[in-house]
Amino acid sequence: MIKLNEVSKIYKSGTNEIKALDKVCLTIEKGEFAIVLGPSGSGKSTMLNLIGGMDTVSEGKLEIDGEDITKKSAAEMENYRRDMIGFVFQFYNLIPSLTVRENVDIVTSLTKNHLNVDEILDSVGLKERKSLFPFNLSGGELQRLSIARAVVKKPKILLCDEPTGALDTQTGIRILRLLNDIARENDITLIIVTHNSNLKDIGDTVIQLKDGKVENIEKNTSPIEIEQVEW
Amino acid sequence: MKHLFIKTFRDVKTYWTQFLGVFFMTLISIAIYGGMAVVWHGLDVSVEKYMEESNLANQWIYTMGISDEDMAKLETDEGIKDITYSTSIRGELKQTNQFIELTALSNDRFMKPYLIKGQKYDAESTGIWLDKKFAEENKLNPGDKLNIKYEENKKEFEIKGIVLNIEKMFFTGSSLLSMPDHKNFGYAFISKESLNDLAPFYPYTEIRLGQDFNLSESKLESVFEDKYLFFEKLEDKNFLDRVEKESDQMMKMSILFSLVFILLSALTMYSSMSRLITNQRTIIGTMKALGVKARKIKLHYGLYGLIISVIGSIAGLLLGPKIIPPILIRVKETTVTLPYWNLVNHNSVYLIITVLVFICTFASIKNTGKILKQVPAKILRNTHNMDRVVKKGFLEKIDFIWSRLPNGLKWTLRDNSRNKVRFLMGIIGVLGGMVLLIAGLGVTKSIKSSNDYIYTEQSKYDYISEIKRSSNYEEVFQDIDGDKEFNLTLPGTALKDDKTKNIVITASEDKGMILYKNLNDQEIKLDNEDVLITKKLAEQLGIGVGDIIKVKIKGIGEDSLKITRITGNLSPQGIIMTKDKYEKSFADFMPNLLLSKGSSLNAIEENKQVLYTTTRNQQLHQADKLAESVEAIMYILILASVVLVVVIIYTLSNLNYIEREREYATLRVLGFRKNEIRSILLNDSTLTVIIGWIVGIFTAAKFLDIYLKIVAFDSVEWVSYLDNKALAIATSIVVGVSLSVVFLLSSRIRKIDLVGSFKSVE
Ligand SMILES: Nc1ncnc2c1ncn2[C@@H]1O[C@H](COP(=O)(O)OP(=O)(O)OP(=O)(O)O)[C@@H](O)[C@H]1O
Ligand SMILES: [Mg+2]
Repeated sequence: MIKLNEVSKIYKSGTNEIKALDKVCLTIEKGEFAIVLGPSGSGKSTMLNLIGGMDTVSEGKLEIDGEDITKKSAAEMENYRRDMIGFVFQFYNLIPSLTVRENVDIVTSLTKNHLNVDEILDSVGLKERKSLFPFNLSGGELQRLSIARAVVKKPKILLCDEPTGALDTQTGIRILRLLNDIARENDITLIIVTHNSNLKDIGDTVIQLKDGKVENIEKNTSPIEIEQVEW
Repeated sequence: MKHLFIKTFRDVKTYWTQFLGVFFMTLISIAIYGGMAVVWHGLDVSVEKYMEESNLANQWIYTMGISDEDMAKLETDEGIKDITYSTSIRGELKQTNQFIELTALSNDRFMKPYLIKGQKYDAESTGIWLDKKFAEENKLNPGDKLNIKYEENKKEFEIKGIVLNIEKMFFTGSSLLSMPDHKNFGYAFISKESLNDLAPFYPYTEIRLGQDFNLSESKLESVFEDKYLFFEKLEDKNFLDRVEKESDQMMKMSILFSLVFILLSALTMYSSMSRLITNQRTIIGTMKALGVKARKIKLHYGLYGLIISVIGSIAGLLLGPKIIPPILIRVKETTVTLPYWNLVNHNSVYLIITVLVFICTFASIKNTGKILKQVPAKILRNTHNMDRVVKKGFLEKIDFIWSRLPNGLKWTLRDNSRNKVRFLMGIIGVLGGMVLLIAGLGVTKSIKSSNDYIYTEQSKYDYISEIKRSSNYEEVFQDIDGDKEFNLTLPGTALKDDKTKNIVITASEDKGMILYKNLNDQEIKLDNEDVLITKKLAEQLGIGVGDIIKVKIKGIGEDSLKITRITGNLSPQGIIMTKDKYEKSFADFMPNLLLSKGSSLNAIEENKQVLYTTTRNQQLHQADKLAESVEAIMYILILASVVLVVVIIYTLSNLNYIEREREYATLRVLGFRKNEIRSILLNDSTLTVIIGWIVGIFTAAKFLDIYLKIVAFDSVEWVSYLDNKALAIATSIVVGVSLSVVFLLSSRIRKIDLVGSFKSVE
């Protein structure tokens, strides 16, 4: 369970203060699929980064499974990212000098309890691409690889910042499908950030941000199938 | 345009470590070269001025004595008005066993003592003009009295002035001294009358003539008949030749080292600047997309390189001549005495500045141009150098090895093959560091080990004495007990085809005081037909066994000699033969050196015909002292090398780091710990260091060899000697710097702004 309690993120530059997040309160249940929506600059990425332990909270409490991660030391945060978090970027951030397989394999050194590299690559449909380099892949393939890399270490939480932002509709749908399936299969809490409000119906929880504040939280009892989304 | 300027300065702030690297590299290169150049060029210029101020003669004529008739012949028959006659004797200070070479001049037309203090030299005065160094060492001043003895005569002189004699800038007092002993040996000018008070009827023996007259050998023979010895022209004078060589040596030392400096700096700066530009590709793409003219964009980035290298060069040009000359000149002044040593910039330093500035500017402009050739969309899209295709290298084809490598190493290897230039630069950085440090440390070591060879392997005597030359030496020195060997060493020239070299001709009794060894280090016993040539001279003249060379000895004669063997003896470089062979080819054997073993020092020193005696140990000590003057130069170079190595390794590693920072950040997000990422960095560095180190050692050995060959005077061969200590020091510096840089950079991994590093696409 992820619980944000009056979480604020304040950026200071000189005398200026920017409240990227302003006393945000929300809860995401374990195994849920959450969609974070909002206009540009509303604080979506900021929130995701805080949950992912990539940045520090300015004020408030951020509890993961009942533990306040704002109290953790830098080394504890390293472990937190290692054991708990999987991250999928908009621009993939793969390592160009490693092959498809190696890009995933390198993560397996982080934990004993990981998925089988070849199986996960097969399941994201990169079976035939294992010995290619990222340079040789298409955008959709790159994102699938990026997903495989994120889930191979069996994270508890999978965070995706605009995972379909750089992709066409068809490919986007396939990526979302894949994320959803993998999360379900492995009991992973999935949070996807997007500015595409058409996607709101596919999540279990839909969080609307605006100007750093939560504008609306909706629980969606019967999410629609991803393929039915109108883009 | 104004905005672009402002942008340049903002970028300087952002990339300041990079710019600082370029700045320091230009600074060091220019400071070292410029600082050394002002010394050697200053020496050339100062000597030229000194020559002019001393009215240096153009022709020197040596005779066994000049009578009044001879003078009349020259002045009336030949019509020569301007002549300076001179003669010298070796006087002794009464109690102290100090020697002063006394010179009397007829006038100072072509030999003007350079006045330091006191009165101007007067050829009629009864006073004495004393050499500055001797005066300093013995705390003598104008007005003081000196009691001088010559054989049985004594005379008291009042010091009228303190002077320097240009012809004695390398004065040591004895041919056995390689460094001056100013405390015990001095020189002075007195009048002819005073000289004759000490040495009655002692005639003038030398003549100095100016530019206007030039007497030929045959004319001199007809005037002086058999009293004529030989003449020398300006270009034959040993001290001028030597001072030229000193300046030449300093020049070569600085050029060779600076060349490596400049090469390394240029390469590093080139990659630094081009990488910097590549990091700006998004901005370049944007500017192009916004319609800024390509020329303007190039100019803008050209400014980067230009400004930073110009500032570095100016700083070097200002600093070098402040820091280096005081050290260098102090060391050089232990052997050469000049009234002044002006510092003059050599034009070549401007050429080097131009080259460095050009490289920096060119690197920026060229890389900007390369990026600009692409369409904006492509420039902007391609953010992570993804255009550099990864290919499977040779190693990867050997699956059996490859599949066993850890991912981190595979990554490093592929990255290096993808960025060959970067990888190569890293290796060159390490290699260059090894070369500079090993050579810097090895030069003095080599010189000292060569000295050791000369004075322990090659020489076996206890004492060596300079003696007055005579044919009945056996009799004259019979009081001296122990083993004795008489040798004659004379300066001369060797001629082969069109090559001429100043050499030393040795005629030896060969009784084992000096060993001659062949190139396999086996002892050679001279026989009466033998003519040995030393190895370095043989190489310089292109001579082999069986070749004929022409050997000339000043004032004695010349002969063509057939070389029978080559000897590996290091010093002096020249021709060696037995006394019998010498007598057959040149003249009576009248030795000037006595080498002795097991003799009593008292007996040697008491003998009136012994001019100066020293021990083998003392000679070794002096030679090592001389090597220390080279050492001082080396310390400057080593220090500069260390700084350069730090700057280069840091700059290159930093570039690598910047280029891969995003990848490291990704790893951090994936959950890699700081030390795990550090070991990846370390992997990368280790590979570079190992390769650079191995290649560096071989290159360094070769460089040291070449360096010693080029830098050594002709009279001695220096054999390169690479000791483990130098190797260990160089290795620990290079490896230490590389490791420290890795740790420094890895501390940055912790501080990576995980959010920020993904946000920006540049
Ligand atoms: N490092 C920073 N320094 C200062 N302000 C920042 C920083 N990072 C983000 N902000 C500000 O915080 C606010 C929220 O930014 P955030 O990146 O979370 O928005 P977002 O919702 O992800 O927008 P988008 O949809 O465009 O990605 C913005 O107003 C932004 O300007
Ligand atoms: Mg965002």
